[in-house]
Amino acid sequence: MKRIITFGAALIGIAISSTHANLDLPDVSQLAVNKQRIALTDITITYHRPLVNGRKIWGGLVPFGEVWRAGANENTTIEFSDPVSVEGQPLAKGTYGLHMIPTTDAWTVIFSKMASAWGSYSYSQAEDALRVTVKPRPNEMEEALEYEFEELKPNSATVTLKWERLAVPFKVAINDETTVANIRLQLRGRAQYEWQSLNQAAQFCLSKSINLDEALKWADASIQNEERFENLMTKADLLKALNKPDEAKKVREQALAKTTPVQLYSYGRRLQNDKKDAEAMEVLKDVAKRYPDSVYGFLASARIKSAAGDFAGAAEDAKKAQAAAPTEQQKNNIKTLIDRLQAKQDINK
Amino acid sequence: MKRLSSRLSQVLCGTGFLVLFLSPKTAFAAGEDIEFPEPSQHGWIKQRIGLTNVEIDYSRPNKNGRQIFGGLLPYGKVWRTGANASTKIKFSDAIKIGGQEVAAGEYALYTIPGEREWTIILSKDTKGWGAYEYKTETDALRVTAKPATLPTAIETFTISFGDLKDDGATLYLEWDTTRVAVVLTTNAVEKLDRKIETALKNPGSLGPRFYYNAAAFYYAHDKDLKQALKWIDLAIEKQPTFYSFFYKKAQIEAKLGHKTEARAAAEKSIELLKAAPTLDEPAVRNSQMLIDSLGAK
Repeated sequence: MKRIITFGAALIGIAISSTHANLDLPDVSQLAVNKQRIALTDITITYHRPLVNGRKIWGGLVPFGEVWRAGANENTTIEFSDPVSVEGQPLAKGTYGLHMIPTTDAWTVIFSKMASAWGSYSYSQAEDALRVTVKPRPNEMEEALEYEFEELKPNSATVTLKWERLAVPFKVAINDETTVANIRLQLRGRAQYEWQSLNQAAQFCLSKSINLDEALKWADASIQNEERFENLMTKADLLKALNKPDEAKKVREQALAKTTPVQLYSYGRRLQNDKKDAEAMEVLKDVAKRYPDSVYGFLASARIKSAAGDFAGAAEDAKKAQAAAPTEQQKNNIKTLIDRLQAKQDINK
Repeated sequence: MKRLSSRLSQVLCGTGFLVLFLSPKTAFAAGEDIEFPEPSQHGWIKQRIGLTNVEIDYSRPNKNGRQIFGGLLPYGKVWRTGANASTKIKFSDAIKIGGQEVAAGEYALYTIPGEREWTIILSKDTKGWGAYEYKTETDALRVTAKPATLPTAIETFTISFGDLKDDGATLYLEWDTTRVAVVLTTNAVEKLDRKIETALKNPGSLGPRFYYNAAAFYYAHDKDLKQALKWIDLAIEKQPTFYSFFYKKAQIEAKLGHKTEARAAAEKSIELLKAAPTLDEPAVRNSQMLIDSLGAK
């Protein structure tokens, strides 16, 4: 059954559509769904988008101080696939009816356990799961009401309602433990029998400095499946993080004995990703020293020079890497780095 | 997702070369069956435009202090319009993009950023990882669009729909201080015209809702308003207890300049609303706003 323009028309539609020819029109307030993954948690907002249509919205069509469906037609819904926190307050996973109480100053955002109502007419405070207070801000004109996910971070995002000249943001955050629990569950599948997933799970914990004891077990299990530079290095880094420098050193030497140019280079890049810039530079220096006349040696050298602000020198090294690269595709890709260096951009950023 | 991560591990662990060019944030080794948080997180939007559903599936990179267009993404080079796998756009019906028609189906959305002009590409090959494998032979459509400069930088790459109309909308691509707008047009209006014409040949099968919708459609698109008035009167004759019919009649009368009739119809709609078991306050406000707009008696 399609949604019709108004409640009254919807009732008629239900009553007569089976016996009469019908004429489905585009909704005045069109259906939209916006879904975003944050870490491993999905947030889904389902809503209808009313238009301003020249009307006064805030304090006019939508009065101050009254519960509003924060959309059109049925109430807007928001679904979380895991427990989250909203503006710092915990909220269980599930689908909620999203309502708001606009005022001239702070707004109340309401997550109602009742998620399948028509508008806010039957809203009851007894069914509230959470209420938070947020501050709206002025925004450029939005004719059609919209929800957006903004400022994505590894474990949070801002959900912003935008309509007319107002934006109403609220922050949703995912606890790292929730993400670890999600990974732990996935590791019970076939992934436990190969080295990559276990190694990556261990690396994830390492990068967040959480769950390190279990991460060490995952690294060991990965090594047991297939002993490689990558998982030995993960283990060495974990041992270091667990204050076992002697054991860490031993495993690190074991790893370095097994490494190839691309593995060591990739390790350096991963350290950069984890914002361990000093350590990353040490590794890249090692790559440049160990493999001086290879693609990876030149690239490592280019990155070291780029980080030091020597863009001309870095571009020279990148050109040498390009000359040493075996395929056209690879040469083209290195060209992107050369172009950025020639524009005096640090390719480590 | 499985295809995506296995592809990434192939890239990283097979030839091991492309890793050089992925940003440091994507230089993870991914396993076969398991999902990890992605630095450019997955977004998915669906929008109904006219009578057509449009869906977009993409990964959303952050600016992270970098200059994006003409910097990280050089002008004149094909961009996957997102991160990771190529961005997908799907239409439930044929649609026009920047005036050119494409068939219903799923496409990869590529763009070529430019300082003064962007090229928007829809490719029939939706399996590519990024733009590495893009080939012009797979083009379903190419249109150009003008970029605009935003007053403040957008941190996370965002695709959204705005400027919603009965038969169209605008697709926006926004990142850093750049916004690119592409107009999408459906044939909903044309289709409805044909549907009304066909249905009227057999009026015996038509109920009040048909006449209401036909009137609403004519009203919304500034077609023959006298015809719209005839239809809304027919709808009311068949079903005299729905406020929305009277509200629509009031709107049509007002547009025709029939103030007295418009006021009477709007008042009737409020009367019906107040008789309902739960009061639809926004609807009452709408009717009242219409009455107020007619001026003094």
